[in-house]
Amino acid sequence: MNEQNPLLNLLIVFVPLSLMAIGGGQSILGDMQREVVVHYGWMSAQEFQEIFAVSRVSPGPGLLIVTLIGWHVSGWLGALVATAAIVVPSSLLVYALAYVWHSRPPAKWQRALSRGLAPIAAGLIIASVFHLLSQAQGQLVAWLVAIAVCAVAVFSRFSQVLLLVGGTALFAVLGFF
Amino acid sequence: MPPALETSSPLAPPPGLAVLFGAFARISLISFGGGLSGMLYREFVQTRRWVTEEDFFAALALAQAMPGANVSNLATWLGYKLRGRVGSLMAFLGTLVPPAFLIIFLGAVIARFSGTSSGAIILAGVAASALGISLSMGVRITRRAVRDPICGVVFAIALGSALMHGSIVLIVAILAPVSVGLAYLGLRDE
Repeated sequence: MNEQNPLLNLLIVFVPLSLMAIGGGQSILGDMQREVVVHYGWMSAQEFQEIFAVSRVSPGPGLLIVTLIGWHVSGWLGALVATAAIVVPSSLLVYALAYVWHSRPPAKWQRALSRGLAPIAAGLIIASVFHLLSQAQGQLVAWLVAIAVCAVAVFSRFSQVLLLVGGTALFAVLGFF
Repeated sequence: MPPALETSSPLAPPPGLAVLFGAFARISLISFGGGLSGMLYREFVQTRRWVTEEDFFAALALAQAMPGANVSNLATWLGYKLRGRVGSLMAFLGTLVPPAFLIIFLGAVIARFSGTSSGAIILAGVAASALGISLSMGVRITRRAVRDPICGVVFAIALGSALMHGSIVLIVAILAPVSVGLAYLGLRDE
């Protein structure tokens, strides 16, 4: 579009995406790239890939990729606006549901909801782990480490810092062979 | 108010607001590569005992079914459950603000030193380990959630269609009403 206020454009792009991102950031990455690279031309496809890679190695929610996009487009203010645009609308929705949910004693529909959604959540969690592992660096080693950490986590009460350190050490050792 | 639990250990009292903010910030800052909800599970349910397993999984399912970043949804929900309105805000900010600063810092650094990859192995190892923690949560929630053959079928369809890169929107839109409806009928029988 023409040279409007970039902050406004960030809002126009990310607020709708916030409300479409069912299942988390994975589901909207394609749309996001189309808007950011093709439609608004804020950066090249190559730069988008780089930003995506940074968001993958950076801790925190994966959707913080939008923080970097906002920063790229319009500095600190852009980062703030883009981040708020992607998380505030959906969080308000969750907040409203949490309010309704906890404001009265649990009814049957609530128990039905949590029971009925649980197997779907289980399937989606495992699928998303497999999906992320299939793109992970180190491939076979990454799978082995993840499965080993999973087994230890299921059968022990080690702290997660220990699990992460142990898994990373295993990854480094296996990576040399 | 909470339904009967299989794990009999009593819940700890809810944390103060600063502790709540700190817990979310800490976990958010040490989680790489999509392992955040698994770590929240381990911290909140198993270590601190602030939330029951059943409540956590219900919150997780809702957080995933609702649009937005799953993790900030989950934080908003858990924060509300533990400390009401302000708790919800603290959890939300704790999850997002510290890593948002970090990612900008990393973005600036990597843009300048693009190509050097001395820490690449460590980052990849941390990511793989974090995915292992997520997987362990997946295993646990599966064992708990799949109570009967119908749940098993729902689980298998969700897993299979998500693995084949089907639209998650479509999966949730079709499966959720069916599964919740069946659960409701099941409750009627009890």
